[in-house]
Amino acid sequence: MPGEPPVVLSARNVRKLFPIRGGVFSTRIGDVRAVDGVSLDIHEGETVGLVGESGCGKTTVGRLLLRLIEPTSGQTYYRPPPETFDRLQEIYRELGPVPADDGAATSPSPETVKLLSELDRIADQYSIYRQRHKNLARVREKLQIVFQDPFSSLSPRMLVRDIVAEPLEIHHVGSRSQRYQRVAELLQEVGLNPEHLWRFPHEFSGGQRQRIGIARALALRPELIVLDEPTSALDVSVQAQILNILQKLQREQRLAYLFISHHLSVVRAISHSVVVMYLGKVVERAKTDELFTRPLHPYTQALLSAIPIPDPALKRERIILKGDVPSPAAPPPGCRFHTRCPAVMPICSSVEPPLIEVRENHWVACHLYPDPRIAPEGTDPLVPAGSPLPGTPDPLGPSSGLSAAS
Amino acid sequence: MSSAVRINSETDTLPASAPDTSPVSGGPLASAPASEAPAHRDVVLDVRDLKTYFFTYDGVVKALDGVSFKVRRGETLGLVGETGCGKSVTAFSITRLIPDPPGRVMSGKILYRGANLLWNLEREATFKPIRNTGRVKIRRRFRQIRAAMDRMSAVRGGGVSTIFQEPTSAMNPIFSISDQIGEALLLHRGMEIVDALLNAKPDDPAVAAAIDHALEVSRHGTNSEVRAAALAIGTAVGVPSLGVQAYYILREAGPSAPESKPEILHALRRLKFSGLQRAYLRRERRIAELRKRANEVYLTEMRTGSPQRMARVNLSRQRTTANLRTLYLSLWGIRRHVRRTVQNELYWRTVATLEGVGIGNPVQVARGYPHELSGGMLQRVMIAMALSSEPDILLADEPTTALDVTIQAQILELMRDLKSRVGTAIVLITHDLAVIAEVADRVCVMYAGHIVETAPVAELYHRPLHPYTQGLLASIPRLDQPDKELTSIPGSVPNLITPPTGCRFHPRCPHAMPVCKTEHPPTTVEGSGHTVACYLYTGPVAVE
Repeated sequence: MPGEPPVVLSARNVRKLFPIRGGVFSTRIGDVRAVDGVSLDIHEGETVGLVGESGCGKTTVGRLLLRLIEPTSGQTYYRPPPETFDRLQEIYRELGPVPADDGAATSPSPETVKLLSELDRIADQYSIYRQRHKNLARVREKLQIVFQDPFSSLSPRMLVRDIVAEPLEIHHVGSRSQRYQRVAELLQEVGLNPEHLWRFPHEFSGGQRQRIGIARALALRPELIVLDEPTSALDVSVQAQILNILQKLQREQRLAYLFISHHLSVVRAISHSVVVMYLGKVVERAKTDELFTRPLHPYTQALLSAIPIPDPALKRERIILKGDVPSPAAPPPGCRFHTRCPAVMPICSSVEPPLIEVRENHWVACHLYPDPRIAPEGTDPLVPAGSPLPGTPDPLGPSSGLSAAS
Repeated sequence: MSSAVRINSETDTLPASAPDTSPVSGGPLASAPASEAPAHRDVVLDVRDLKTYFFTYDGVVKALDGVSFKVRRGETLGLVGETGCGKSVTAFSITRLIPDPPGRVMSGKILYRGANLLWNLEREATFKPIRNTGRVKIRRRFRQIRAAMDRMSAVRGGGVSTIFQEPTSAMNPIFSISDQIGEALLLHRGMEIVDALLNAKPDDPAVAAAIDHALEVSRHGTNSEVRAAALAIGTAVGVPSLGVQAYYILREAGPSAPESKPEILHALRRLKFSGLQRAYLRRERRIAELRKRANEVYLTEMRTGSPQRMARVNLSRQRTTANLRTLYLSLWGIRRHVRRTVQNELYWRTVATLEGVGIGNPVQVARGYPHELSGGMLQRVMIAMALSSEPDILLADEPTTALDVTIQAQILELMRDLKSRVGTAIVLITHDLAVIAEVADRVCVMYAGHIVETAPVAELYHRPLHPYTQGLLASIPRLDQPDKELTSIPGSVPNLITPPTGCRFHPRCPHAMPVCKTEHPPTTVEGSGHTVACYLYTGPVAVE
């Protein structure tokens, strides 16, 4: 895409299976498909929101992107040059939605082999999963994380000064006095006072601890910070403080964020683009405004309409989903959402819908939306005639989320 | 709270509303305008000037420092505020479940239908400050405390029921769902259950006719017709749960439903009692009856404020078990000759209760254990359990906080539905202003142990008066207003051991004035049902 800032991190078909062990010898009796083929790009200075219900694999994606856990398959590229990134896009488009790493089992065609070997070469150079030792450390410096629970992510036996200085120490940045100088600056940046340097974490409130966590993540001047539900343990008034700090830092330092949250209103306030996950799969991906004004996937629509809005005068038609999220150890066949989907069709229970770009930068994995490459020219597949809402299928009625109400 | 009761001249001109039945000196009720006067008689819970302190090694935490609010019949009151502002402490104080030590309800009144749940509170303990430490020496009088807890048994469950935040830890993992809901049913509605069993008419000719009719309907009728016909069997016998059982027998039989007469007759057989069984059932009925009378004595004591010594002596003479405290029905206290029958009855009543909260497969759920259910499902079970005793007031303490948004939407939908169907008053405690907007009729905003603003829900969101309420509303990111600038309240909730002087919000308040630092603002009336405690407003002072 011309004019877009360069990509910081680009994940392709990342998959993580956690084995379930059982039986007599603790043999592998199954897999929890925590993350099943997730692809996303994070550009410089951009916030990508990652939303979904608990157990859908949001946190695992965050950790995979930083290689805090090793993936089962897939690659995450760190700062590929623009021309390489374009080539990567091409290769993945030609390889199709089937994960490249599984393709080796069935005897592939010569062209595929060629593409795979080219992919291998690029991965060797740019994928964080292929880097070792010093190279890996250099990447790690630029990728940081802020954890969800500010109470358990700070060591109770270390002074705030030592907590924030620890990443600098590990990466041998500066002399000791320079490091402490930097810590004082960092605390200032997140709105804490120099006097807080000599305190222990238990002396702080939740909001202040989260600031310490942010200061620690900022210490190495990273390019990307994974924010794993940074405000869900905080009160609303404090949450607003933290969000404002994050936005200020992004403006000043061109940081990229991966903002993981189950709270859609917060995601809308802070993100530039949003990825919606359900049971380890990306179901929809779009720019924030696009996603919130015209959600396409029935799950996104239900998720949006489920969010209570603090205005008693606003009465909305809502889509209430039946039942619970199925277990990721035994995901339903076909589309994983079909057991709860209000617009379910016969095809949904057998064929898994691929993630396709139905409109510029708007990707959705749902059988309701035909592939525009297949659909006849000149017809907009998203607007059924006479429908008040683009892309809202009839079974849902005129009820999709907010646009109906506002 | 304001100690001096000032009555403005403006207040005096208000038409006098219905006289308050509770023994409080006072002129016209400024807090209830004339239009709301009839509704005033419907007050089921009236909390006045409630103070709850926690005595810790660091000092006395004044968790609640003069909280007053009213709950009317069928209304949903939202209690909202940040962590540590005393929302949950309020709920636990009402049912007197504050862990003691370290906590104690110190003073105030909690009037449940006119009965003061804090009667005799001053005799439960004495307090003596320890010099130069800020700590307090407490001498508890355990006899008095135990008596108070006994009295509370007349209110807990039957009068005021609670739903807790974390459904997984609120249920007992080693008992099945039907055991746990059944226990609540037996405790609170034991008399009704035993009566139904004693008066069952399994041999009535109408029963045989109803069974034949239900079998006939099951041949071609719709599901709701079959259900009605099956429930008619229960009505004919006089045991409604038998109808539920018959319905599920027919449903599970599927296409062979018309041939399931033997199963229904078998179910009916459990209602044919021998003479001995009847005698035992009558014994259980007597226990339940005495329990009910004991509860009435307790309520009378709390209502009139005088010990009912004669009534207690009369009860003690008639008691059949050790003492009043152990006088209640529990499954393991019931003679084994009738235990299976009662257990079965409880099981099917549980199934009916679970149906009421929208559980699709109540037979399986009732048989299951808590670990087999998801969080949303368990929260439904908790709600079913709380409602099974048909309480006047339901205290819901953060009922959806532990749940996902889609499941939260399900539970809120259920609560809205129950509100219109059951008519129980709900006190909904949450930190989420959006949830309150969806469900509540009236809202109390709490801050650091005080109620700072009370208003009808629409009024609060469109005309928030207290700076804290305004700050809270401005700091919520909103889905419908994406471009709104998020403003935050500076600072954080104060430490309640040494709370700020004067108005507790003044260190964080953008409009703080000199007076705010020294004096606690009185609660003033600013429109119909809208009261606020802030010096920015100069309406008439609210009288309790």
